Amino acid sequence: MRRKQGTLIPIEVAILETAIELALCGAPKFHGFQLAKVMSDRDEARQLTAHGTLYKALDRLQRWGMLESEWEDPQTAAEQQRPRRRFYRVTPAGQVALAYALASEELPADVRPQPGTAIG
Amino acid sequence: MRHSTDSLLVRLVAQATYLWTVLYTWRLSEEVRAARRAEIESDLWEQEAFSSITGEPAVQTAASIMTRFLLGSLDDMTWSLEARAVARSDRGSEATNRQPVLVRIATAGAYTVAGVIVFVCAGSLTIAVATANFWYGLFAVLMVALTIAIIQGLRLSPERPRLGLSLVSGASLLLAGSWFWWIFFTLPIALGLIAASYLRGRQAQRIQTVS
Repeated sequence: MRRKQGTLIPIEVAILETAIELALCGAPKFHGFQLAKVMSDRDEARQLTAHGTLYKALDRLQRWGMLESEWEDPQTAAEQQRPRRRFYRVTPAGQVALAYALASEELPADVRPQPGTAIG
Repeated sequence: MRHSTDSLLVRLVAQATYLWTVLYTWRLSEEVRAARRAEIESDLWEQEAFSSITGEPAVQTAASIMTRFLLGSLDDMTWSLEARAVARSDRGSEATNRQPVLVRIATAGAYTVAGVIVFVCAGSLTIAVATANFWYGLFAVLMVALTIAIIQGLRLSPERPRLGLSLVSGASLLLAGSWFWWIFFTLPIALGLIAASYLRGRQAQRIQTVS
């Protein structure tokens, strides 16, 4: 999907909206599958968001400072005999960006997507 | 990778998805590669666990994982290309190293075609072994060799454009010719592969010239 300059595309808006909803429900930190599940329940969609689409969008939002992430303590994951989770959290910049996106306005320069920053 | 389900079908589909992740993260930096693989492994584990808890039928879970994998595969490829471009631009010449959209699409398309050819070759080999047909086997081996030449050519194109282009041109035209009864499909694909190789080489040369 082609991006209009200085705006967010629908998947990015959906991620930020869901992230804020989760935070309001007392879950400020979320992992990829949890996000996909909540998004699909919210939209009453049959299918969860595709892996590539979801993680690419999460990566972009993180690079733009709208989300931040941290890896779970390996000890916790080991105790529960599962792989480590990567937890995301929406940042104040993400909240501002979502407010602008929902008002259908261009993002201000300080929260605007910045290309060329490291992918991780 | 670890699994949280007993269903063989779900395990197989999850494993295939993880193998795909291994493939498209192959040439990325250690840090980016490990992070993406760990994240996908975790996602698959969580989906398997969720399905086990809710009692979702295995076929439904497997179909969901497969759909998520297939629908996201183009994004995976473009993400991988972007990650490589960003890593290169981090090492220098910020603006010049970013691949134009046309090159990225051509490269993603070329690798997709190469992937399809690999699957076709694997199928041909299986049939050749099952039917013990020498000529069919020889044809399949030739297909495999040409496919490897195309993949190698595409890989070499940025560093050694002439060699890359020669390999891709020779192998893809031969491949198109050997499927002559489908020439209206195979020839455009071959020309697309040659264009992808040329664009990759030209882009790399432009970056060298500017930097």
